[in-house]
Amino acid sequence: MSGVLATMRDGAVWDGPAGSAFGARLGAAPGVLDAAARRLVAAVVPLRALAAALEDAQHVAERAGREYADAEDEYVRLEHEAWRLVSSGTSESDPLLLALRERQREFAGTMERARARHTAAFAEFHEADRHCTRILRALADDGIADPWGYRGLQAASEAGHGVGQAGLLGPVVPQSRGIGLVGEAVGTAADTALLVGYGQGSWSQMGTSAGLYAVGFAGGSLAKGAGVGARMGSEGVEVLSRVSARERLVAGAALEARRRISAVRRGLDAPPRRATPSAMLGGPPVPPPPPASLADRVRRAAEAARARARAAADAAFLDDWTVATAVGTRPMYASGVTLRAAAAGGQKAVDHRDRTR
Amino acid sequence: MTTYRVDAAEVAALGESLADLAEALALMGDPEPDLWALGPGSAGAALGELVGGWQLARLRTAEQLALLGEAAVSAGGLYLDTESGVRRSLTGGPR
Repeated sequence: MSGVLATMRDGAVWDGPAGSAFGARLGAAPGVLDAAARRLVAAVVPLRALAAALEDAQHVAERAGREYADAEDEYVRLEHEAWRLVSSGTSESDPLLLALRERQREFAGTMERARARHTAAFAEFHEADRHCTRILRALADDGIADPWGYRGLQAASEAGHGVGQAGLLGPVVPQSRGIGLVGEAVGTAADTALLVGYGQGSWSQMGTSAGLYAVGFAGGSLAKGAGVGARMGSEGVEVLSRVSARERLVAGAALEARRRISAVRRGLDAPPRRATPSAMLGGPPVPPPPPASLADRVRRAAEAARARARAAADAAFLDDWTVATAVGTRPMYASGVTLRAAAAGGQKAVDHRDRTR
Repeated sequence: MTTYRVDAAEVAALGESLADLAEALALMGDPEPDLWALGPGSAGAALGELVGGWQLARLRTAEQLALLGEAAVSAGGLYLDTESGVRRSLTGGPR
């Protein structure tokens, strides 16, 4: 996975302070992805062994079950035959009945052997299952494993809100109202602890931690996240997968990012005549060039010269801008403003940094 | 001296890839519905723990990748703005 990310990163020509900062931030992700990939790759061997053991056990169990059932049917049929003979006055010592009883014993033996094979097959499967379980649990004990506290809070959140749904039965079962209230209280308490302890679960926290500073972006991501995991089919809403609220929030952010990316790609494919890529991203368009009168051109040249002078005088600006980006000027990206607005944002970040020094 | 070498389209494409990865990570979802296939033992629960028991790291990584994807695509847009603005100022392109 780290190789894939490195290829993705290296495939984009982005040399400069922002690109360096971007690469540094991206560098943290592969560790988690590699660890996750190791989990899955290492699980292949024990899972294949378990699958083979399960298949073998199923074959043996199926065959044993069939043999047991056939033998049992024969045993019962012979018992009916014996009952008929005894009812008609045949003695138990009669050779005919003795032969019948001998055949019954054979079928009983067949049943016993089938049962033993079934039991042995299941024992072998359970041994393979225990072996596989030990390996899987060992693999799950790594650096990316959810902390116990987190797991407990997750379970409390899910269980609490699950019980809280009992409150919906209030109109029918009045007692369920109290149960639902308790459940919701437990779930909400767990959610609060998840938010405080792990930074997960809150709309505003999501907007902050994911860098979704622009209100429109946050709103869009939340709206999209709300629909994740389901779609409108010909017979109504079709639920495709179980997605938790926390997963919806992150997925919504990714979907919103993709929507904006699509807008940029359209801009790349067919640059509009009266809009700019930043306008399509939701930011203000680059102002059109002023009328090309001689006075204006002189004024523009003077402004450009002053800008260059200011930039030269503040040689550290771009470096400061990089530092400021690392400490929280991502609105420059997220809000999709123009470079001019981004520069203003960078200055604010510099001011903020100065205040916090 | 700071130097720049930027392909805005590639930067935007990088952002798209990261957003795809973020979405896939966020939507890995709950493996529980498929665990029955592992039979009646305890391996199903262990596999569920293995596949799903890194949600905290997974969602944080997905958040980071979504953020970086958005940053890359926004940066690509800004570079485009700069390029197109400078080009218009120099060549008098369409308004």
